[in-house]
Amino acid sequence: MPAGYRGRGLSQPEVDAITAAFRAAGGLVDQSPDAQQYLKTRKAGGLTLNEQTILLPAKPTRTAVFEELVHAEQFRSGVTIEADTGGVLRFEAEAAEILIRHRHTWQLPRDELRQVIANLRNIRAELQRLDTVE
Amino acid sequence: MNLGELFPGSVLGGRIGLDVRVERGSLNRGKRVRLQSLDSEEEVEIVGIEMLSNRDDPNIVRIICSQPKLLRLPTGRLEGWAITEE
Repeated sequence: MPAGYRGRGLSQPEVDAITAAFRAAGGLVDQSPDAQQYLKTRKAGGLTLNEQTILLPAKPTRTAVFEELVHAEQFRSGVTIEADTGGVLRFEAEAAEILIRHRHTWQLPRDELRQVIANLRNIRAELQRLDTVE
Repeated sequence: MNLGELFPGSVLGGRIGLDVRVERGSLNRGKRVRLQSLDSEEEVEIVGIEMLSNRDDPNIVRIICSQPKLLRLPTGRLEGWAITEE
């Protein structure tokens, strides 16, 4: 939902450390200039395409990196999009809940966490609206 | 849109992106679907689903598919196409 969480951009060693396990398991983190350009066109602070592929900007926020890793894990568990179920909103809501639950372990900055909570509220409201409409 | 042409130096090389609304059935990674225009069609594989909701209509999702071998997709937006399950 958001155009990416605002906060301190991580250094490359920090990004590498957080994504080490994902990459060791065969995952690909694309931070190429073209990937970054695509993220700009999508107004996204990060993007996950499947269980093995994540796109990140040059200096992503800590929350964005963990959010994409959560999405990759969701794909590993199975992602199916069905008619009139709100697209990927439910997965975004679940990811936000997981970020909030693991905020201490993952050391998510307080200001970024506030954005996650606000985002989750918006997603839940949107899901409720969709449920009402359908 | 032809993401492979627009962003060749990324993982999107050789891929197309389609903003789709699921009207029946379901979508998931690995599924093979038929991409249909008015006068032609070709099978493509869904290799990814963007985990980014569409702000205007959450029921629309962007799927990333393999580049069709025969169908020629113009650069830019495609409209009037459909995908159907195999």
